[in-house]
Amino acid sequence: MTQRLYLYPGWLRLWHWSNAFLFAVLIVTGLSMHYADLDSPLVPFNVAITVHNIAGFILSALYLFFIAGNLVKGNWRHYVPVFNGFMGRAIAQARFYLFEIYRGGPHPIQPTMRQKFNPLQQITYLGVMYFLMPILVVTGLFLQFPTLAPDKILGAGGIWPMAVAHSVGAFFLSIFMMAHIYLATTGDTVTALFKHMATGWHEIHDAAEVESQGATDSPRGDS
Amino acid sequence: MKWKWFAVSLGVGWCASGMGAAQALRSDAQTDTLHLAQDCLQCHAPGADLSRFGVDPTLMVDSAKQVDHRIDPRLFAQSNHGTLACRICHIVGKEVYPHRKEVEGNFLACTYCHDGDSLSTALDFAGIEEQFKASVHWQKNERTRANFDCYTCHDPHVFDRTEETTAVPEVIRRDNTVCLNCHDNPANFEAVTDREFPYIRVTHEWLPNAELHWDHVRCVECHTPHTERFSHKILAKEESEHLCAACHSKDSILATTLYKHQFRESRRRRGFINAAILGDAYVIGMTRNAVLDRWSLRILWLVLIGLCVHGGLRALVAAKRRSRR
Repeated sequence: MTQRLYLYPGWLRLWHWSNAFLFAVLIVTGLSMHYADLDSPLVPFNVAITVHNIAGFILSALYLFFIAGNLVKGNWRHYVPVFNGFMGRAIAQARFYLFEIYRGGPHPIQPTMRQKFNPLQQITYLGVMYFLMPILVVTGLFLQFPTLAPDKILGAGGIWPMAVAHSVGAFFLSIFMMAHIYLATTGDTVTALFKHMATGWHEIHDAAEVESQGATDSPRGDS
Repeated sequence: MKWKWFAVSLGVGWCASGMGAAQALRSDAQTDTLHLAQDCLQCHAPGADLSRFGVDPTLMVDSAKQVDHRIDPRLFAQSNHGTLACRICHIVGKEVYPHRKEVEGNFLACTYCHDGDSLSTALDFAGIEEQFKASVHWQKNERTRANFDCYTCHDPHVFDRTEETTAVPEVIRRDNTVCLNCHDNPANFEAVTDREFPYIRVTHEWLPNAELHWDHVRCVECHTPHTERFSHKILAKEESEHLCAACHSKDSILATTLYKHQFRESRRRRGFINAAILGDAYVIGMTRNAVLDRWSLRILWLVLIGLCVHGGLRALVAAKRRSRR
């Protein structure tokens, strides 16, 4: 028997996929600028900086849209960890990713309409969306408008800490994106969770059904 | 003053006999009444009370030729020529007032003093002349070449080339002022050329953060060839540097031009490559932190390998499960 939950409303999916696309663009153009080379540019510098600036602005605007959407629609509740038994559930989820996933065991924590993220997702998304993203947006704005930065920080030009924070933040977000995409393959089938995020409907199949569909690995994972 | 920076002289009436006379006068200069800068500045300082000497104030600025005869004492004192008496250079006709009209326009070329001395060797005046004649300033001003000389750009009364001890922002401001005197001033521009005044904000529309660039690099970084020694061959806009990565890269040209003196000390500080510029600017692509770069690459590889191993094992186990069924 399949249970269907509408976990990802239209506004969230629009934000998610736009964010994903912009992230990919920003990573490619950002890397191209960071490792700029006259002889073998990944993307020509002038193209990279223009595209990066535009994509950065749209990403920042989308971030505000995400925050507003979260507040208005109450989606923010999914990001607030339930501390009672949090460690136990987090360890169970980690054990699943590290060991039980190979046995095709069931997902230890099923998403519900009240709590769609498992503890590891919660803590990761909380850090990414409410810590790393603001850092990236704010430092990106300072890099775009350097005159806003302090003249001097620690005896050097005021913009370098912004640049370093931007690079470090972007690096961790890139790592997150890699892991996020990989973990999205850990659904009932490799593409199941991608489909969920495309349609908005999260489907929870029972074990027998999963087996009969010829699933490649574990049920229900990251989304 | 016409351009005779490098040659012995190109001015009207400047010939071998004139040169001889000038040399003779130079030796006499020490005894002239107008030999000290302070004497001349009684009239030539901005705001001087010219009525004391019955001088017509309108004579101090020749707007038709864009020549200003006023000298800022402070800037002159700070300049490379600040210790010289005026008549070391202004020999003929300036020993008395009113100055002798018939020798107006006769000035010394730089090579009159800087001929065979250590500075002339260091600066390579002959090379500068060659570069200047190949520059857009000479090439594109065929009809108005007579209006363009070394002193059009380099005012010997404020000229200061002590780059090694001057802060980079001051070097940038000083050098860009030379260019912007004409390129951001239609009146000055049209005084030396028939060409239509190009507004730099329009010609630099393609440049992201143009104002920021003008504050942090010199015009000549892009508008001269990237040679080991500074070139006076100012390039036309089509030939000028348009590749951002020329500066925005690890091997940035800024390391051998604007920041060459700073780079003699150390290229690395706090883990940054090209750290010498950190005090003044952060140039994307140039000022990278090598430590962060190294560790981020290591972590990235570890994560990639980890995900590949995890995914590979999942696929393997899933395949085994399927084969058992």
